[in-house]
This record gives sequence, structure tokens and C-alpha cells, in this order.
Amino acid sequence: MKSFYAKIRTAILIAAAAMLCFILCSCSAAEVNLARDGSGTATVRIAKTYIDDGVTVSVTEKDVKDRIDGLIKAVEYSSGMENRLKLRSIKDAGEFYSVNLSFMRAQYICTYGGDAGYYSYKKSSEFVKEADSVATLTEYWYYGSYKPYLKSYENAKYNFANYRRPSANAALKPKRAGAELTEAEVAGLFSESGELAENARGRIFTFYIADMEWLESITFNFKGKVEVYAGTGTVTAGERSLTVTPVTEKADITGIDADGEVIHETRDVKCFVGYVYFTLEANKAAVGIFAVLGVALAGFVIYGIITGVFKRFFKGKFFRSLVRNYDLYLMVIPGVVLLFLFAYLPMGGVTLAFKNYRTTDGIWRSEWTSMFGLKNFYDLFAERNSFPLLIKNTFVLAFWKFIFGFLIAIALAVLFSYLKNGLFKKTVQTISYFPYFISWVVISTISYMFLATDGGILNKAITAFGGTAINWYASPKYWPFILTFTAMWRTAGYSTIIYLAAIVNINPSLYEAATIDGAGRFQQLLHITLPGLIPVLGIQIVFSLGNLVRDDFDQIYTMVRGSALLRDTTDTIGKIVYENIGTPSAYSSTAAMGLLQGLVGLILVVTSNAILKRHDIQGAY
Amino acid sequence: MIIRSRGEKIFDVINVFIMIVFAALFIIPALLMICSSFTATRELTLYGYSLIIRKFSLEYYKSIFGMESNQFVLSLGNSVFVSGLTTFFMVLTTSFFAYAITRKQMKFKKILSFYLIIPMLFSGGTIPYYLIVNGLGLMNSLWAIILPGSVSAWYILLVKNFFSSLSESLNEAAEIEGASNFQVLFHITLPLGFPIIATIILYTAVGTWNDWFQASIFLDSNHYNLWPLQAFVRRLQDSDEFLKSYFGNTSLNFNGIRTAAVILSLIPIIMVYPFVQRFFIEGTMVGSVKE
Repeated sequence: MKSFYAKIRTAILIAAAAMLCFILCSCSAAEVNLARDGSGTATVRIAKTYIDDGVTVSVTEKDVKDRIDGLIKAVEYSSGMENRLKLRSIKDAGEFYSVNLSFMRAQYICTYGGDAGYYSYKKSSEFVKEADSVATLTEYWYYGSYKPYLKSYENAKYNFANYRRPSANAALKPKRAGAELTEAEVAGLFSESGELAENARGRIFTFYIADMEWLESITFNFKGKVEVYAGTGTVTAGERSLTVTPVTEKADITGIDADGEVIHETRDVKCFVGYVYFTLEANKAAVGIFAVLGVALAGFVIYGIITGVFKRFFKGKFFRSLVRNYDLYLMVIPGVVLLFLFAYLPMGGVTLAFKNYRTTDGIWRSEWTSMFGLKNFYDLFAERNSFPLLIKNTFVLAFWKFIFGFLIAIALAVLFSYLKNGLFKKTVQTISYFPYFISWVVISTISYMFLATDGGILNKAITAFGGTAINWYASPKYWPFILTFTAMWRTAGYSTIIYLAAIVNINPSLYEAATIDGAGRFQQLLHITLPGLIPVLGIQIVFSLGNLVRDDFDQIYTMVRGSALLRDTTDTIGKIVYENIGTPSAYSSTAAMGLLQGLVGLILVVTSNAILKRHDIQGAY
Repeated sequence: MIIRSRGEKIFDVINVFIMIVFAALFIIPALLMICSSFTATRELTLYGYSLIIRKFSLEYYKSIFGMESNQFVLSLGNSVFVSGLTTFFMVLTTSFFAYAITRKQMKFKKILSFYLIIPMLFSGGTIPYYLIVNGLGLMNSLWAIILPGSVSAWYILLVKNFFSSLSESLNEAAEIEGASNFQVLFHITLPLGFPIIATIILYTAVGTWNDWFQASIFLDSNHYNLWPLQAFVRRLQDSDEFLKSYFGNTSLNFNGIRTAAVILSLIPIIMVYPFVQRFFIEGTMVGSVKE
């Protein structure tokens, strides 16, 4: 009794500890990286009056709040994440309003500026001609990715064509602390291809805002030192800050006016154009922790040397044994390394289920979702109507395979055991074990011979007996049966091996005694054979219980041959996960599905193992 | 001599009958496939799959080997390469690891056993796995299939159980003679543990041979030349377009080509199956019995 609960408790504790460890690790990694990727604060100055199309407009504090709220909403909507941009305060500073914002990544403040039409700027090409590498970087700061894709000039052009973003003019030459950089200095900053080759800690952030006549200036406070910056009206305000004021440019406007008419015109537009290149500083907390650890370690080493603990350790039995058997430790290395890479790292990767996956950020750097990271799970149930169906299909299919798997294996094993040892028995066994070794691709071909709509053997038989042919690959209702049947077909023979061996191992004297007592075969089966199978059955149940939530997606995917008509009964979690490989936007939610699946499986296995042990039946672990 | 009652005799007859039907469940599909793959296009199209070869023809097989891109032979080569290397590495990692944790002078045995059990209980799931392998830079390389396939916590435990059932006295005798652990492993433990190693070889080789999933996620459509056989054959099954892209405007029956390809992909398994049968029976037994 005691040991039963103790086992469960240990299992849960271990699982919880592992979970916590993974989450903490990637949490800290994510935090560090967010800081690196350009989070900070900004002070935005908003004019109390401004002139729009010749009309003077006055701005109230409520207008400001509405505008900023709209911006935050837009960021939330387009990034799919909350709290990327936060309003800290709005202050009335006499001449203007001073709005304090904090941002996770600087572009959230800027990307959503222009909201009235498309712009083409006459001056944009000048800058491009002047310095290719610098021009691209003004266009391509990419969601905090580590290496800005500065060389993607093609992409930059693409942007020009599509969005007609105001690019820069000649004044956009890089500056450092007010002075323009020389050609050589620029060349030293960027590699020939335009990548930030030398300084991997550097980040580039570009901004382009237009048609925000009410915006007077933005002051960014980065968590890093501003190295190089550019842009008309862009000045440093201290080592880590940058103040941007708008310039006026002529723009060809294509937009929609209040009456819904499309308008084309040239007019003066206030816009912010520029970029900043800042280098990051080491995370102070991390440095502090490492320093403390280092001091502690050094202290330990000194303590060890002084007190002779090390001497005793290195001369001791334990260490000598390690040295003498060094080859044993070499032997475990390949296994340890491969398991770490392909089993443990993916386990850490389940944190993806709590994140919002972005290709450019990867597993470890993607950001956490809202609702304490549980948004993906919430969405699975709240927004994806299909998820309950997936659960149902996964479970139903696994359930039938589970039940019939045991019934058929035991029944066949018993029948086998009554066959006389000889060529016949051996042949039947050899034949029936074989399907276990062929792939689902092969079995899919075989089933197609039977199930094909025209020319399939089943349909031929049905029509020969006067029935109507069935379009099997379009009739979902038959598929739970078909999938269960083929799974049984594949494993039935093979799964008897264990039970057959168990039957053979039953003490023959039991049967002799039963025969003397006049018990028939059926009674012997009931009272000797089946009870004799229980220990083996117990272990087998533990092993397969985990499968109750896993799906043979391998089977399902090959068997249905891509038929979209069978989704109602054949779409299982594993199949959907597979189908979504290559669709990064779905990675987080499918990882969440996979995690749920794995957790339920884990609980089933651990609990059933504990229950078996409680009943004194040998468990699996 | 056990005397059987009348009822038991009837039961035995019925039992044999059931077994014949049971065996037929496997033989008939196999025959159907074989016969269909040898039936000429016109007959196959007219009469469908059948156990009778109305007109014998090798055309599907010829077309498979006569492919312009030689994709089938390429894929066959990839499969042999992948299965061979994976199996080789698997034998090394499992036997090394299992040997080490069965020796009594080894420390950290508990930790290492625990290290094995966790991956058996919980896995990260397909997506994290895919992203990790991708992140390790193995995309579009056969190593993406070979390396993850070269280790299995479950097999290590199987081998460990088997090794620990062997007598230690020979090992100790060899060590007194001054043999290193590698020598003991290769000269004593591995020969004695051959049944379980043979089982591992069989499972790994067949498992890798049969796998299309890894190839389909780690090798993209620009790398068909790397595709192993099962992945290629599966694409042939799935899509007429894919088949056409390899066989051009063939006048042959598509399903004939498909069956022939499947049969060819089975040949290696059929060839080794009779020799390894007794080992996998033994191996399965080891797996079912706890230490």
C-alpha cells in the first residue's frame, strides 16, 4: 500500500522536476534573448495640434490614448502575442503629450505607423545607388533574428515594390556620436555581403514611419550601446538612446479618401526614416550568477587542496576505479551523446508547446504565449473544433487495436499450443510472423488490391454477389475497421510468440494432475493456461497502455493514401502533426497536441505499472 | 502416449482447419501481388488483380530498372547504405552501453539506467524532434536518418538484460589475464550474447529498411536522389503525378508498376527472414522478461 503511493509520488515528482527544469532553462534563455533582441522603452512626443491637409487638428489626451491603444491592438493582432508593447504613462507636458511605452522589440512601435495609403518616394533610389549594403539594412530588420539578413537585397527590393516604404536619402549615411563614418569605417562594420560579420552582438533596427503628422519625436532607450545610427533628424541622446524627429518628404500618394474614392496625388508627408545599430551588453544578472559560481568553485578548490580532500579523493578507491576502468566510461559515451541529442533535446523542445514559434527565432528564442504559456492549449480546445475529433479518432482506433490485439494474440497462442510440433506448425508460424517485418507501404499496396474502387477484389466480390460496389476510399465509416484489421493482420502472428512461450513454460504436471482429475481441455484452459498467462499479460498491458493515446500514424498515413474524404475517422493527432511539418505557424499548436498525447501516455504507463506492482504482478520497470 | 478423447480429436481437426485459413490470410495477398506484378498490362487492366497470370510479362520490372533517372537503383543503394550503417552503429552503441552497465566495477549504474528509462517513458514529440534534427544541420542528409536510428534506450535495456544473465566468471578470468574491457566485450560477451545482438541487428535493419517517415520529413523534394527505397515506393503509391514524373508517358498499368516496386523492395527482407527467425523469437522472449 505504502509503496504504491510512494511510487506514484516519486514518478510525479520526477516528472514535475524535469518539467520545471526544462521550463526554467528555456525561460531564462528566452528572457536573455528578448533583452538582446531590442527590448527597451520609448518616449513618444505627440503634438497637441497639427496640420493635416491644410486643416488644423487639435489632439486631446483621449485621442492620444485611443491612438496608442489602437497601435497596441494592431501589434497584438499582427504578432499574435500580448504585451509586446505596453503603455506606461501619458503625460501632459504643456506643449505636447509625452507618452511612455515599453516594447519587447523596437519594431513594434514603428511598423504600424502609416495608415493612409501607399507611398512611393522619389528619393528612395538615390540612397540605394549610393551604398547597397547600407540601403538594404534600412529595409530589413527582421524580428530580432540574430543575424540581420542584410544581404537579402532582393528582398529589400521586393519590399520597395510592394510597400513603397519611404527609404532614405543621402543623409542616411551612418554616423557615430554625431560624426559621419568614413568609407573604411563602414566597410569595417559590415562584411562585403552586407552581413554583420565581426560583431555578433550587434543588432540593427530600422524605422520608417509616415503619415503620422501628430507625432513629433520618438526617443528610444535601448538595452545596449548605440554604435552607429543614421537618418535626418536622428540624434543620440546619451549612450543608449536615440531621438528621432521627422523629416518632410514629397510622396506620391495612392490612397482612399473619406468617400471611398481612390486618390493619387503628390504631397508633403512627415516621415521618420533611419536606422540604428547597437551592440548588446551582457546580461548583468547572468554575469553576476556566473561570478558567484566561479568564486564558489574557486573556494571549493582551495578548500579541497588545503584540507587534503582532493588528495584523498584522487588517491582513493573511487577515483582509482574510475581510472582503471576508463574504457567502460568511454563505452557509454556514444549512447549517452546520441540519446541526449535525439531524445533529451527534443524533450526540452516541448517548451515549444508553450511558445509562439517563429522560424527566425527557433525553439529556444521564440516567445512565450500569454495565459502563462498555456494559450496554445487553450486554443486547441477553444478555437480548433477539430481537436476533440482528433482525440476521439486517436483513442477509438487505439482502443480497438488494444482490445483485439490481446484477444487475438492469446486465442492464437492457445490454438498454436494445441498443434503438434511439426512441419505444419512451424510453417504456419513462419508465415504468420512474417507480416510483422514488412512496412506499411507494402501493406497499403496489398489493401489497395482489395479496396480499389474498380478492379479491387472486395468490390468484385460484392458485385459478383449482386451488391453495389463501395467506394472504400471515400467512405470514412469503414475505416476504423479496416485500420484495426490491417493492424491485426500485421501483428497477430508475431504477438503470439510471448504468450506461446508462457504457455510452454507452464508446469506440465499441472496439466497431468488436471487430466487425472478428469478436467477437459476447456477446463484446463480456463483454470491453468489462462491464469498462467496473467503475469506476461500484465507486462504487455503496461507496454501497450501507453499506445492507447499514441497512434500508428505510420499506418494511417500510408493506408488512407492521402484521401481527404476519410478525415472524419482517420485524422488522428499524429497524422495532423505530420501533415503540419513544413508549416511553421502550426508548430506550436501541434507541439501542444503532441505534448498532451505524450503526457497522457506517460500517466497511463506509470499508473498501470504501479497498479500491477500493487497486485504483486511483475511490473515492467 | 496421451490418449485423446473424441471431442479432442474433433477439436484438433478444426484447429488445423482454422490454421489453414489463418495462413491463407497471408499467403493469398502475397500470391496476388506476385501474380499481378507478372501480368501484362492489358490483362491486368482488363481483369484486375488475380491469382491467375493470364499473360506472363516482365514489363513492370524492366521499366523499373530501365528508368531514365535510375532512381530505383539509387534508392536501393541509399536504403542499403542507411540500413547498413544504422545497424552497425546500433550494435556498437547498444553493446557498448549495455556491457558497461552490467560490469560490477562500473560506477553511476543507477544514473545511467535512469537515463535510459526516461526516453522510454516520454518523448518530445514529432515537431520538436524535427526541429532539433533540423537545428543540428542534418537536413537533406542521410545522417538525419542514420544518427537518430543508431541508438535505442529500449534495445540497450534488452541487451543489458541478456548480458547480465551471462556468467561473469569468464569475464573475470579474462581480466585476470589482463584483457581490456573492449577485448572482453568483443571476445567473450558479444559471442555469448549473439542471439540478442542478432535480434537487434534484425530489428534495426528491418526497421530502418521499412521506414519512410524520416526520409519524408528530412529530405526535401530537391533531394530525391537521397531518398531511400520505402520513401520512394510510398510516393509512387500515393501519386500518379509522381509516378509519371519517373516513368514518363508509360503505357504500362500504374498498379502493375507499383506492385512490382513493392515486391522488389521486399526481396532483401524475404532473403534474410528464414535465417534470422529463430533469433527474433529468442529476442522477443528476452524483451518480455524482466530482469
